[in-house]
Amino acid sequence: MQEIVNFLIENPDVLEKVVNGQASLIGVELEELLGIIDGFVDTLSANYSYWLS
Amino acid sequence: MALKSELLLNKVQVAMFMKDAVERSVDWLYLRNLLHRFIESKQTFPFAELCYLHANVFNSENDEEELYKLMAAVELLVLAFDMFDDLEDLDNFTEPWMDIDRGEAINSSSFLYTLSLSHIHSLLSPYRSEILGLFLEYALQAMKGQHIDLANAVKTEKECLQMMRWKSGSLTALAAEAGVMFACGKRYEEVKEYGHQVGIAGQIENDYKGLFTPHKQDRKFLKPSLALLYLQRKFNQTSVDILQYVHSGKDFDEYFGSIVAFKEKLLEAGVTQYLNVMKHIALKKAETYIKKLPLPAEKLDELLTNLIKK
Repeated sequence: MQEIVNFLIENPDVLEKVVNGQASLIGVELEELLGIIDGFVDTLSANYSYWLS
Repeated sequence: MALKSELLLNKVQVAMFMKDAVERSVDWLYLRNLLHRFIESKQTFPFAELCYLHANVFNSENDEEELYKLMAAVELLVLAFDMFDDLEDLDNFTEPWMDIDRGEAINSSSFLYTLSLSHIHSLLSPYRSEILGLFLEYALQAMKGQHIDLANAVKTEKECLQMMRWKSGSLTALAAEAGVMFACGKRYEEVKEYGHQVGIAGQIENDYKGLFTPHKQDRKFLKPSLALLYLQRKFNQTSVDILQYVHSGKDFDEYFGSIVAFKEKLLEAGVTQYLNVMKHIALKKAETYIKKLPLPAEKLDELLTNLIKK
């Protein structure tokens, strides 16, 4: 999962497509995909203040 | 980890039952007062809540007094393990067991561990043998995970998750499974699995918070963890910078200027995103297992509301 997270950080356009459901990640199970989306959304939006403050 | 919905769990009563268990076993006031002080230092009882939630989801007509005795046993075991953990890691110096003689602290944690098991033995539940079996099974598993952690034996993400499953997931799985066993005398593979995953998610969150705890940070960050394993991949220069800080021996505010600056570095390196992703994957796995349980929709929703949708 380390490589996938790093890949998505380095490729924000791909991350945006994954979050919007326009792209998937090969070899990643559904629970992992949903976890990746929730994890990034959680970090960068709603709970951003929690992780930063 | 705290449950979301307002459970009717009486936290004062959980502490009271824990103290009562001590009083029944210790007639020497010095030791009794010492153990009471440790129990009083606990502000929350998340493992009792987990046990209570499961007992009530699987059976709405439990003997409340017996259930509180069970919850007290669960929390006594967790308290003993928390004490062992602090004594082994030599951190968390604000805890009352860390400012007394080391030998007395170790003996107190051994006492509470054994008291927890003996308390299960005194239950009137027809399933007390099975519950005791769960306590022994998960206690051994938690100790195995703890030893892997202490020996710094984790080298990969997979090994780290396995260690967390044993060390932390065992105790959440125990709380959930003990509640179910008490309620209906059964074991469910699904409960075991999501019990572990909920524990992993909670541990990841605690580990993140632990990075910012004064006095604790240096030692903790040097131990193998998901955060350290990610940094060691050196995906970017910020990861290298943080690794230099880890080995500098300085506090984060001294090294980075402020806690906010340190948090921004962790975000820049990708550590924050990685930990959040790993936490949510564990929660997604837990959700899948919860939905597989042969329970009515409203019961499943109660579990999901309390364990996942927080």
